[in-house]
Amino acid sequence: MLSEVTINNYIETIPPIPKIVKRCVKILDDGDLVYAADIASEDRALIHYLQSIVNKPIFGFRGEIKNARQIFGILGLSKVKQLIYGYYLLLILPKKWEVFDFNASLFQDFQARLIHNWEKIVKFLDKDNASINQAISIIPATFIVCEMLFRDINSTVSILRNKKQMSYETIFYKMTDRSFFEVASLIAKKWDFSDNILEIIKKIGDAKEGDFGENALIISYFRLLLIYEMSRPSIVKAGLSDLFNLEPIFNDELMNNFYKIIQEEEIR
Amino acid sequence: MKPLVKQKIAFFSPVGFIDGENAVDIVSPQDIDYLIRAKLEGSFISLKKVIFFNKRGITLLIESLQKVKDECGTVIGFCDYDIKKYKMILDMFPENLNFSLFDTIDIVTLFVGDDLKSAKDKNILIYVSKNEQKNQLAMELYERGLSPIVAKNESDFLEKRNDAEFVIENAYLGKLDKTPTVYIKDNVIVYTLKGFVDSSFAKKFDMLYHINSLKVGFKIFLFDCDAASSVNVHGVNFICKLSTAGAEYGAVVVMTGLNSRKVTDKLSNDLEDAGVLVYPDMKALFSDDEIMKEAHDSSSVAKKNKGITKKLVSSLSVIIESTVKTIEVLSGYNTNKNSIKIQPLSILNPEKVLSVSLGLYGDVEGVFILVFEKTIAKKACKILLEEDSEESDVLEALGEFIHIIGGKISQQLQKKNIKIDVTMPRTFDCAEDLLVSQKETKGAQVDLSANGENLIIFLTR
Repeated sequence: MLSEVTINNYIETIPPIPKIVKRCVKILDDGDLVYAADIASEDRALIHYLQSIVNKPIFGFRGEIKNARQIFGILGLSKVKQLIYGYYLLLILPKKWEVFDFNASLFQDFQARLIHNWEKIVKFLDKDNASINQAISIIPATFIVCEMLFRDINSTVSILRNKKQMSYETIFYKMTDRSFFEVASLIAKKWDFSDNILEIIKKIGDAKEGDFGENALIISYFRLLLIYEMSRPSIVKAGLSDLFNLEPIFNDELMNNFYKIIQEEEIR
Repeated sequence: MKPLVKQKIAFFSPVGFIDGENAVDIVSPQDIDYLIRAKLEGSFISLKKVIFFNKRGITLLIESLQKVKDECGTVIGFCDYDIKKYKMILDMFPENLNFSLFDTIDIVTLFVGDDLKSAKDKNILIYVSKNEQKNQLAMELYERGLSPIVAKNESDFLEKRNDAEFVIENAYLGKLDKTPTVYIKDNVIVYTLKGFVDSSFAKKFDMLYHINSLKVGFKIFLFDCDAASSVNVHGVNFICKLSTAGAEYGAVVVMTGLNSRKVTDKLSNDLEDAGVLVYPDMKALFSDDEIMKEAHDSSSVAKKNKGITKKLVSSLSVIIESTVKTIEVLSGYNTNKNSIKIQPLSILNPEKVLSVSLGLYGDVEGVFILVFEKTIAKKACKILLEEDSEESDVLEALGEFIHIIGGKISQQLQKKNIKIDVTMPRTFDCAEDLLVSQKETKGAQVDLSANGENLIIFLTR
């Protein structure tokens, strides 16, 4: 059985953010893209990660983008920041997945799709919000949380899921009184994200939570995007599509707009 | 995507969006193979968590399920939708549908699957706009021994709606041509045969389910031929074989709905020679008190002089370990083993316990019983229970709980090349019934304590 102790033990294993990466983020906060790129190139793992993400087909660049200044220049401040936060998750990414039929490459595909499609939505809404962007970059940590915490009890949980239609989130909540999003926010806390961002991460996964004030619409779009990405073939095949209890959004206008944005993207 | 199998029906529950890109992964080729092997009564897609679907996605899903339908006659379709999704599907396929639509999962189980317990004596109201469909839906339920009320018009529907426990409003009955279909009525397993009962009947028959039912203790197996066109020599031979094989378990095969147009006199005699009882119709069978007494008594017959076997003892450690581990994972309590003894089942405070049993069969055969003090039962099953649950809910959850343990035992024994399967669980709210069923039976009794309260694992033959 999972418990508070299991969660605390797991959080303790989360490594800190490397100093170079922290420094790079700080410089990006000051808006100096070129200097940030130079700092980033000191961390080979970070550059390798950015290269592999940015050269994924979904970003649609014709030639291979190799060096840090190129990457930072092409992507721009907001997207680079999101990708670097996404890089944080590499620190906790399991080498081998046991609960889900997943791997690092598929995980990065998911991150890339999420970030890329999110940019389209932000453009459509004409409403960029740095805090929400940061929170979104941390959301895929929920996959890792589920993988790592269910690993030891997976055989029993898979029998339970075969007999009873329960999402991983329901089982997790019944065992620990916490959601995956709450644990993801604990990870973000360990990485010194602001309280505001921790709150957004926690609330995004809360089906009953609707009080986002002026950000309500943008959060609804994000939930829709998350549900959409969770029903993509690689996620279904991996067994991850039944991870959350995200409440379906039955709003015609929202749906039509959303699908229009995504379809345009797919056609292009 | 792995389906949830409930009462011989597979339910797929996709989340989010269904389109041409992901539909083939929702019901994958491996799922199709599994469904064909499992010979289920129905395969349905729940649309509850689906927020968007297009025609391409729906068509691909149906094409996948159609393969299962073609192979073993499984009833296929969609369920768990609102009126908007229902209308969208009807608009997408303006010609007659070759699949079914049912408002909810519960309503699917009224039409398909073997367990009609939850529907028995319940108020079922039907009101769908197309008259032809309305009548077909009602007829199908009548055939399954239920008594639906058909609303005459909208005002009649609105008036009766509040009293109804099942409301069938946005439904469409595709062609149900599966034969045989099966359900349980008054402890009788009823197979409904349709069309020609010939060699294909034997091919489609779910023998595993039949054997399982025999092992659980069902004694009357009815083959209702009311809707069958005719039964040929292959059909008769197969039923005769079932009758002969069932005799080993003291089970009786009954046929109803036969007449001289459907079966020749010679074949009719062959049936009787094989011990098959022939009744004119189902009503005649269910009015026969003597045979119905047999059906009801059978499940609580005490097994005499049966004890634990060497084979069972050799699997005991795996069984105990799997049970303890599952209890610990699902309940969160550490358990301590207090004693292991070979003895008759002994329960210290029978009035304070809930119990459940499960049959194991295959390379190892036995009966596996769990006895929980009521307080620990609720805590142990908390993961399977809603917040406000009553004792009956706890008992039902215990059934699911032991089934999960059975799955775990089967998984662990498989690692030692021992293949077993498990029967459906049987729950006891009164320990006396359990003690009677295990009278004169010795087994391995393991007394455990979890969080200071007692629970018993009992394993016998």
